[in-house]
Amino acid sequence: MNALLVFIAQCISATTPLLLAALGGTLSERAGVATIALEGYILVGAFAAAVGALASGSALFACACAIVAGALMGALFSLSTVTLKANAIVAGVAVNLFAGASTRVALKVLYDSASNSPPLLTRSARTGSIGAVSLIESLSQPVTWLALLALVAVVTLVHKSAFGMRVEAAGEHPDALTTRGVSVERTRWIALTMGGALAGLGGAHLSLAQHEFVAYMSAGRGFLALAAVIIGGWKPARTALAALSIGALYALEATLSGRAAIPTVLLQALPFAFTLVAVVGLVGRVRAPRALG
Amino acid sequence: MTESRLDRAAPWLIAAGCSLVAVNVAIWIAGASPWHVGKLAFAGAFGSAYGLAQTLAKATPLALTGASVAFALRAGLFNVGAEGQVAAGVLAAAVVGPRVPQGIPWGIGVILVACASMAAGALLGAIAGWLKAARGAHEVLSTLMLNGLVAVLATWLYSGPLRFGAQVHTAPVSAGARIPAIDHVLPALRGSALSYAVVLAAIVPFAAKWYLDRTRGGLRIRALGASPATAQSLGHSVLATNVRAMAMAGALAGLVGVHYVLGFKGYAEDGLGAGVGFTGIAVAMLGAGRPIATLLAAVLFGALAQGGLAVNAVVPSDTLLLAQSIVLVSVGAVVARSLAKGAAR
Amino acid sequence: MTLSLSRVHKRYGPRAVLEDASLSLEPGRIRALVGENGAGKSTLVKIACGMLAPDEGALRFDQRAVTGWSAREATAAGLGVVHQHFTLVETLTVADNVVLGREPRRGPFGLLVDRDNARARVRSLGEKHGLVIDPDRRIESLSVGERQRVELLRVLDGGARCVLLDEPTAVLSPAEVRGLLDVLRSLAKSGAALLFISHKLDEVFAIADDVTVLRRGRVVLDAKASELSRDDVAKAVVGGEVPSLRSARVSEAEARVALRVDGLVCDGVDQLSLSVRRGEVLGIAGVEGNGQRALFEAIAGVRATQRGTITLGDRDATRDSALERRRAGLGFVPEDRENTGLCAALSIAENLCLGDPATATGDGALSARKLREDALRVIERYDIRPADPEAPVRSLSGGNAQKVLVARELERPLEALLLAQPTRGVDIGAATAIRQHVLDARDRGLAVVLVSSELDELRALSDRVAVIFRGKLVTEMPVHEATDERLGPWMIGANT
Repeated sequence: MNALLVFIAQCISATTPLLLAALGGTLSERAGVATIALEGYILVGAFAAAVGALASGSALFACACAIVAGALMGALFSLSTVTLKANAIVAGVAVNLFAGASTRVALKVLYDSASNSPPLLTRSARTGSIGAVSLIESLSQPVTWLALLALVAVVTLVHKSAFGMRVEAAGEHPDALTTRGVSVERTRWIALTMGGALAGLGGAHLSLAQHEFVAYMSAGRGFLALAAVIIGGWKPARTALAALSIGALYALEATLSGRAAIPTVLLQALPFAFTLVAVVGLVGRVRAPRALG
Repeated sequence: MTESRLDRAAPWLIAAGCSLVAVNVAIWIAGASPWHVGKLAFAGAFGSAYGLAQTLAKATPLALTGASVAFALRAGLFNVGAEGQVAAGVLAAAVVGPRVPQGIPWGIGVILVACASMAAGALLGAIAGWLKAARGAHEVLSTLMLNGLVAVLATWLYSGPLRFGAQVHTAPVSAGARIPAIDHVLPALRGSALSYAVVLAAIVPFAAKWYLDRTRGGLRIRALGASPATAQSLGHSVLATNVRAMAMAGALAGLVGVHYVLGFKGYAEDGLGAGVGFTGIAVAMLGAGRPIATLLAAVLFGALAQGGLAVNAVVPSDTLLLAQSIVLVSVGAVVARSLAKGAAR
Repeated sequence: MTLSLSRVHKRYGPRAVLEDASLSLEPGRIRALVGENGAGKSTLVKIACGMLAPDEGALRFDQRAVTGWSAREATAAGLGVVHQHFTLVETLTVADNVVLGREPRRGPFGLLVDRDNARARVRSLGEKHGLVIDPDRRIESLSVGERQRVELLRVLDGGARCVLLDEPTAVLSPAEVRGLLDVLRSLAKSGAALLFISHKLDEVFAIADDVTVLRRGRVVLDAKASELSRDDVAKAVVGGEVPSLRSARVSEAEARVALRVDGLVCDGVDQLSLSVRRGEVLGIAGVEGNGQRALFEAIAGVRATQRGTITLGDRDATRDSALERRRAGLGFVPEDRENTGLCAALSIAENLCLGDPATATGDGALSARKLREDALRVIERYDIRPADPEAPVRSLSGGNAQKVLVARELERPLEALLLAQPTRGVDIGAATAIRQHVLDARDRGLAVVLVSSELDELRALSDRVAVIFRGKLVTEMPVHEATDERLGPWMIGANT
């Protein structure tokens, strides 16, 4: 029972950043821009949240910082891919390199450390069974609730809103949008910046839940979130399910590692292996935005 | 159709301008004098024989990964997996290197290990190429996942099965497979990481370009990059060409293992070669398929890494590495698309 | 006058696309703009709708001078354009596509699309103009003709009083063409000014009040349709007589069969059989999209077949790969020159080298000198310009690129050639040269299967003409019987 509760708590905790990043990725990929930059968004979001939390002591203020920082990264990515027309993969790698180097520089400058921030938003330990404590800990994270809100918002945006329709046109047939007098560049700028904000918020969960920022703590989650977008067929609700599945594998690792007879390496490899297999198995059955590139 | 000199220089000029501005701003924010830091960095990278040797040692893997990324691009494939292919190459060298029999002639041992490293990189590349052609999985995503898998596997192997006694590294490679450091010829270089593996790195970009431009297999790879549908209508096996292009690109990245394990360290450890795969993308962008430009770009990024260490006391070494990302964005805008279409010659 | 262009010049680099071209549209009248591919028609449209600025000349709309307006401003002023390539988002519905960019809104801050309103708009517009279509269907499920209707609805929903239609009938079946012409007539009757671009004279004379002919960027004819004969327009289009082809063939009625297809079934082709002998050209007529492409791809071995046999000479090639078929002497000139025919980024010499089946396997070194010398020989024989083996194919004009493609296939030992749309988008001079090369190869004993949407081309090259309809060859006749009147009903399925 305890183990189950811990597993559920870990699931929630691992899924939250993946879900938010994947929702951000859904938006910007639907607009027609391949987004491996998610990894960098998460990292910068995590760092900004740490700075915000240390400065204010408020988790919500930390979230706001992460959203703004993520949006700025999204704008940077828009600048290079949409305005300067750089290849999206190259620009994505650039954003990721930039995120890695700049957070390390800032870590050194602000906190005089090469690897991690001072502890943030620590609370006195809760009492109770380990399962209940970890579940309460997970559910008390504001980002988790914001992620659910974001899911509803993105589903509505994509399927019901006028802007969502324009984003879809930008990703499927940009000329169709131009013909109708709507700026493809503007549409993509907005979608990519919103995508950055969402993924940045996802990053906030990493540092807030771990109570510190660690250099390169995104550790491939952005790439997995991108995979979730593809497994989800670029549809937000299905993408959320894919993110939950990958999150569950992380939770499995966190719950079982060091405990069962299964070598840790297999558990750690699980998310990547599962994702690779899922993507390979699903390709051809999902339809990518036609102008994605 | 020949490009003008200005056209060729444009990406370099734009990249230089943008990164100078960005890095100086970062240095200024970090509270130091850009002029002072610049002087320190330059002196660190080029100011002494030792510094220069270190710069070249850091450029060695970048020339290889740069050539790897550029090679795959000619087939229209984005090899974001150089990172994992490097890790696989290092791992293979760490496994095979110590097992090279003692009595074996020196050259043979090196070639054995080099083949193992290339095979390991090629295997990863081939998987991504096969997934792309046979299953339609985009190579960017599959190579990223393979990077993650190899990283997890390598960390585990280095911390357990391959660990050399109480050390935090693997067993040292046999003498028959060691590539000597250059400091025994030039004593001024004492302590530098530069080994004769640098010669390998200097040759590889030329060899890769020769293969692409002057052989039937290379022409097929470029035809695939130019138009997959045409390659198919010509009766080419698109699957075989995809696998070939990615395997060869992976082999070039795998060779990095030779530099680290046979040349620089003499053993492998966790984190060795981390980042050179992604930086190789920047090198490939600046190199734009031209060997000399690729080597120059590798030296440039090597110098940034070395110069970063020299200024570490004043500003964080990562400050100079910011330049990489700026270079990528600015150059990416100019050359990436033409290169991806196989247009650059 | 609703829209007028006067004395417009436009150059791309050194090449003049439009020279001193003038055109005007009046309410209630339909003007046809006729000209060959490359005559400058599409450029004229782009200038008229503001997508492109002229180097010289003036654009006036409703007596108002216009300089560089945006697509949005043009739409707001009442100008609508139906482009040659549809501007529809396939994953969205009909209603979404019609209102996109001008969505009716609801909800907080008007963030959401009012889809009920959108549907109603589409329905009422459709009833008014005879363009009935279910607003909830997705574009990907629509036929080409239905998509055309959605394009028109989109333009009309914007309140267009002046509509430019760039080759709207190119991809329609004859029945769909008739439907479209009816809609256009009723639009003109309600007071709209229309520009109708086409190079099919029967359509022009069926609908136009005025006719403008463009040749090489110049207006060579501008008159009322009622004052013109078909011959006047045809002569103006080509600029005098079309050069004739020579043929020195000895009859080889009993020559052996070079390519035979029996009961072929694949995606797009249904129980199709054909055979063609050495020294013979079999022409295949048909409205585009009736399986021509699938047929050629199946014979070439790049599309999977479900049933049927393919015989090349004496060899059963049914199970052969595309490469084995090429080795056995099958040539293939696909219709999509840029994406399936050639490698635009590679040089002329490299593209020619790719035709050699030996390049498809193996790893041997290529001699740069031999590549260059081989290419120079071909360049001279086919008069390809620029005469530079290193020039990338993408820098070539359509005609020269097509010459490279045709030469790549003809310059190796062939039994049979699959030739699709050999002169589409190619200027008259190059087209004649390409046709002559094909006839010369035929005279040397090559068997050719030709698919073309130009009936005149089919008649000029073929010995027999067959008609493909819904993936089947529905009839076949000797070339002297293949008149428009006989082919037409078969092409639209009226005889089946």
